[in-house]
Parts: sequence; C-alpha cells; structure tokens
Amino acid sequence: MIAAHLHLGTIPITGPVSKEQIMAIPEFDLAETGDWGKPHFLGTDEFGNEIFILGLNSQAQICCRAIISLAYDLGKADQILLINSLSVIGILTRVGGFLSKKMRLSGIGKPLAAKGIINSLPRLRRLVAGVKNEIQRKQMDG
Amino acid sequence: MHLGFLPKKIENLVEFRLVQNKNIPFVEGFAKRYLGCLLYVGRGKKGEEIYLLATGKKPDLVIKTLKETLKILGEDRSKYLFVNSDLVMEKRRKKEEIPVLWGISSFEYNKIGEMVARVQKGLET
Repeated sequence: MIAAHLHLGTIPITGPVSKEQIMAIPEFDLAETGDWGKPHFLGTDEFGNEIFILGLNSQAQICCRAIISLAYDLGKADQILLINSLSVIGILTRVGGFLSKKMRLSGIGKPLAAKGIINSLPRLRRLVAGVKNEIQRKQMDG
Repeated sequence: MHLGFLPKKIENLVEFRLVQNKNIPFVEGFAKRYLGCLLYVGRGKKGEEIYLLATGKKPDLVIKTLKETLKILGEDRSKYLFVNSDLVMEKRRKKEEIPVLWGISSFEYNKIGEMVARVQKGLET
C-alpha cells in the first residue's frame, strides 16, 4: 500500500517522511481478513495505469499464479503487472501489523508498523523506481 | 466426468477397474508448482471450456481473487462458473468407504458424479 502511494506520488519519492504522515494515509492498517483477495483501487499513475493494492495472506504465490494464468488465457497478460512489496517490508512492520490486527492492539501496533515503514522506505522507494523504469521500458518497446 | 471420459456413476468393482484403466491426466494430484495454474482440459457439450485449478489450502481466497481479476479485466463474470469439487468430498470417511480409486471411495466418486450432473443441468437452463 505504501509502495502504491509512493508510485502515485501521494508519499514523496525523495526526502523525509514522518510516522504521522504514514499513519494519516486512509488505507494504513485498515485491511481486514475479508479484504484478502479483493483488489482495492488507489488511483491512476502518470502513465495512465490503474494502481491497485491486493492482500493475499499466505497464499500470494498461488493467487498471483492464478491471476497471471487467467490473464494469459484471456490474452490480457500484458495488461497486468504484479509487484510483491512485502519482500522489502521489515520485521517491525510485520510485528506492528500482527499486534494491531491479530491482537487488536492498534494503539501499540499502528505506530510500530509506521516506524517499520519509515525504516523500509529506502527499499520501498528503490522498488517503486524499478517498477517505473520497467513501465517506461515496456511503453518504449511498444 | 463433465467431458464424458468417465461415467458419472459406478456400481461395482468391475466398473471401477474399467475406469482405472483409462489414462486420465492429473488423477494422482498436482505438483506444488501447478497450484494456481488454470489447466485447459477440453470443451463440454455446450461449447463451454473446462479448466482444472488446484488451489491449495485456501480455495475460497484463490477463487475470490480470480473473480475480482475478471472484473478488473472487464470480463463478464456471469460467463464463468467456479465449481469447488472438494465440497462434495467427505471430510471424515466412514469405515466401510474404503478408497478404491485415486484415493476416493465409490461413494465419493458417485457424489462427484451427482455434482457434475447438477452443473451440466445448470448450464442447460
């Protein structure tokens, strides 16, 4: 979700970001179990691509395979780019999320998750920059 | 069964053996790398395309993701039917229902047959 906001420019791609800025994002720490598997539209980027966030719990690999498999069968695989942002998220955010969602301790969990995001920001920004390069390269290839 | 390669009902062991002798792909299950992959297996009598999908431990989540993906890709969701055949399988097998074929009992086999018949009937309406 933070990566999507970085991509859309609602969180700056350079410069400092505060914990409060992260916690003020409407979708931050909001997802519940029932939201898994349902893409949430966040906005359209400068290239005209629609940006979604999607939580898949522990089934990310299988679900992503299913999405790509379906898109291929429909001849629309080139319309989808799936990015796993969890790979660059640190342990602090995971612990914060666990406390907030599983233990219902959002008072402790939410700031902890936000602190973790701040720590992971350089990695998240590198990921987003890489995705933007990939999109540009694809557009140039035609 | 839907494609007509296997009968929907089996009465005795002789019929079971006849079915077992057919070379049906994937009856032994799927390797992990195939989980989530849609595998086209043929076309039904109404022209419908039939796919297999092994979903792992959380079939509901995989199917929900696929349905949502159809929506995003601008597909008409009413043209797609997802059937979870696991729902007709016995969670706890009774003693007399010994697995005789591909890990399932004759009772379960015939239950699947009934499910397929219901799906085919649904396609007619």
